[in-house]
Amino acid sequence: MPRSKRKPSAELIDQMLGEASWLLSHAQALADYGRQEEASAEFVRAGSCEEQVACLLEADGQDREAAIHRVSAASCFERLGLHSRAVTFLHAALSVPLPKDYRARVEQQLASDLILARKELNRAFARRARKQASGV
Amino acid sequence: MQTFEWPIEDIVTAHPDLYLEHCAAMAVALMSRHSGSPCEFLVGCEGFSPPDLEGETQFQLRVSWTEKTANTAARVWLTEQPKAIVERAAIGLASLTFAHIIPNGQMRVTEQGQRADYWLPRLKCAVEISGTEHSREVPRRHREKKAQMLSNARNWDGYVFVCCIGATHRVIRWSYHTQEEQENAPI
Repeated sequence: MPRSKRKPSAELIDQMLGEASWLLSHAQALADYGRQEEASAEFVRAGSCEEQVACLLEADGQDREAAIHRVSAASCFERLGLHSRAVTFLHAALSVPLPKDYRARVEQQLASDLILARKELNRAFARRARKQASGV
Repeated sequence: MQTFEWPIEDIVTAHPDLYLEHCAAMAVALMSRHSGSPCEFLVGCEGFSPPDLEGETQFQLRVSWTEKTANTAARVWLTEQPKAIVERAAIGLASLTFAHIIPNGQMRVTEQGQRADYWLPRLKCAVEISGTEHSREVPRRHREKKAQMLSNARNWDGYVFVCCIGATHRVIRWSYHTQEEQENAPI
């Protein structure tokens, strides 16, 4: 059997891109069917896969592709209400040159996530404070 | 004019990087309201001609389905919102058409904000898909999707696929656009 001439990293990236795409579409399908718990678990897997593939793409010098997959990871975590995590991915995505229109959309997404992340953290802090007060 | 007939279930294996079973069910849920199997569409291609059409720009698409898919589809209306059904049905029809008529037309998806972003990695093309039940909405949807597609994250050329799955009108407007086209557009 002839050996593939493609670099192993290219094959791994392609395989992971395919996996991320499948997980995302499966998560979307589960969400469509109202199976929220299963959809959330699949969005976690999809987001993690997008995060990993972004690292591989960056290591391969494909900065713009890496950014697109970081935005995809951020969008998965947004769906789970994990806005502070999404903010980290969006900042990383914006650190490389992007087409003007696309950059504007990502900046808008970041601005909205920052607002929601503050609410998310305020709620978490209030819960913790209530727990501590009731424990006293 | 050429006619092609394909089963909607083909999409499940044609795009190994997408989970599309629910899109097949939703496409059947919608098509079976207006037609038995197969359901016919008039497809108009703009800016390209698929190799199988030998220079023509229109074809008849006949989409068939199995009883098993019909049974799944019957339950869809009980649980899904009509808008979601129409959009997923459009994705089903687009993935069927790309798989059969565009060589290397396997699709992938990423999430970009609130939107799913489809692309053809082997052809380096972006894809925007939309569906409606009302033919009068097709031109506006097509304009919007063309603008969205041309502002894609990769700056790629690509396809816009807008289908109308209505009681009387079943048409697909399928076009190819380049970034150059956008640059040269009058302001």
